[in-house]
Amino acid sequence: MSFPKILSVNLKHNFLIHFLLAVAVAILTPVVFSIHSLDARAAAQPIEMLLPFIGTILLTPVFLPEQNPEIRDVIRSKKTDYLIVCFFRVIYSVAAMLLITGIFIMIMKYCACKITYQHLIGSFASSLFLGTIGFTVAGLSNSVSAGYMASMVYYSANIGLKDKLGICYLFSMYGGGNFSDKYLLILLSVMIIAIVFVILRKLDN
Amino acid sequence: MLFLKECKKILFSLTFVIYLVAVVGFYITQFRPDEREALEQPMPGLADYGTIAKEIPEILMPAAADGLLTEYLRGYYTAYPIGFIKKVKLSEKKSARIAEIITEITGISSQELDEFADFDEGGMTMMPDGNGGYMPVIKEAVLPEVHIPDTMTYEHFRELMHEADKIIGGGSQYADEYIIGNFSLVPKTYEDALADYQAMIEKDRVTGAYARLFCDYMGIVVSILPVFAAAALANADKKSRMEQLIYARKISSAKLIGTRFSALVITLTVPVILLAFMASGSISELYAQNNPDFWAIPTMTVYWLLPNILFSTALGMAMTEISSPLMAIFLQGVLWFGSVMSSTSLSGAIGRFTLVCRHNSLSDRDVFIENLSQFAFSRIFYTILALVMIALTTWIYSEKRKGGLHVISKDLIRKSKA
Repeated sequence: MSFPKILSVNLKHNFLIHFLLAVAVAILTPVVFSIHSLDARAAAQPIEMLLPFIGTILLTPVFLPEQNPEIRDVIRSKKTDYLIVCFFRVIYSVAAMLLITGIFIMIMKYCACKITYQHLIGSFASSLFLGTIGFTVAGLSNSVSAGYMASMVYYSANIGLKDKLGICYLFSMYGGGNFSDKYLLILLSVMIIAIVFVILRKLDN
Repeated sequence: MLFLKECKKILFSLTFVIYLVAVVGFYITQFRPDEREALEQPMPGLADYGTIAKEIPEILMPAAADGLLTEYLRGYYTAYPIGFIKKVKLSEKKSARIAEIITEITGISSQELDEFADFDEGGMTMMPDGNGGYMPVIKEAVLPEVHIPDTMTYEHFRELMHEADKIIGGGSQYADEYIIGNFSLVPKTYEDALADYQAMIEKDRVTGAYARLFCDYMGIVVSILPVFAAAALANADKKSRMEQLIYARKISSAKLIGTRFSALVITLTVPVILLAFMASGSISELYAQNNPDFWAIPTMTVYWLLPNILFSTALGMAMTEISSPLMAIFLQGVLWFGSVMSSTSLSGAIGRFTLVCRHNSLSDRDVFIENLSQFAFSRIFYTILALVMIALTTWIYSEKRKGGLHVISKDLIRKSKA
């Protein structure tokens, strides 16, 4: 099967429901938090405290289709590299995350919030890192439920530990007015995702 | 024995390990720091004893008038109509009535209000710090001068505030339940601080106060995490294709679901109870001379946290059976997040349907006691709801065994299996 075909099958069968749930989180955000006429710090609250769950929803189930041992055996017998398919799933999941965050930021701008590109980067970084936690645990344990759970535990730890988490503090813009660590958070997420793929490749061999 | 087999399955699962790490981690990072040092009796003559909400009309009236004036001039009102924060914009007619109320309580006419151009609501604002970040800066509010007329009685003032709250849609700063806490905060006196301390030592017998704090912290994690363990266990049969084999067994659906539910609840509750005993031991040692009640923390843990574990577990099992683990996690996540984020106060803001009860303080015993009936209602409500959901799960499971029920299409289940 060619890659465009694999991609379209994955988008249709493995991605759509998660994408719709991520959109549901974005739609629920203005129900929970106000997004009208907010100053720069207040505007960081919805995009750091609720929107990052789209990362958990989109990245954690990357390995879900092959969680069933029978399907995994069939997939591994195919010519197409299983991990490359997973890599493509990561790429389109991250793209969807960026798209949803971008649209949400534009809506906030339209609602007269004092919002800048830093909010976009900051929210995306938090989503990506929270998703990376779920992705890592789900990938290494072969249990998507454990991945969702680890992601939720990490979110709860942010409520309790706050800036003791250093650059990994998800609410740094809202909680401490600090944006500067967000690029490092993105870099760290990318490194963790790469390490997970390396480990899985070694386990696969 | 089925019960022991289910317990073993849970104890050796990754979700249980993560659960254990999370509850122990929360205990160590959140509660342990409060165990290290005993609170001392307040000494007279200190500069600051904190603040306390007291109904003092001379303080409340001008502060609430300033609050309403600020919100009117900025054009929107902050409220918690269904627990979540909302910014409410009023229609012209309703806004005109708010202006009339302001005129009545401050003497400022509608025309003066509309012509006031220097308005600045002040407060904390963030300014760029030059290094790519922000720094907090305090700005003073600029408002028209408020003079409460001498003829204005406190009772009528409160009636007007009640009306303003209704116009805003309820849950505003002027609501009967919030107005004192919002606009009549005064510094605690030595006597207030001493009374708080004595209530903790004598009425709470020390551990009662720590029990509320323990349950506050642990409630955050035990209100959400059981759903993952329940969903993973309920989904395990589907994953390993054991469903059909189990369907064919003689065991009744009620016994199977009941056993699984009990195994989950017991294995998830025991670690929390053990931590409660550990906390009780440390606190009892710390306050040995104050005759602490050793059983207060474990007992409160059962009353406070067990309904959360029951509810989260039941929802996880029910939704996994009806739809999929993903849906169970999503629904519980929404309920948990809504409850945690809608807490208007971390001390005693407990309603009849509050899922995650918060009381993040060793003091404010009276606030908790005031809400005790609502607290009891919420705990009973979630316990009954959990049992109803388990009955529903049993029925669905039983129907599926007979081959007659497909609540959600098979296709959707297959796509969202987690």
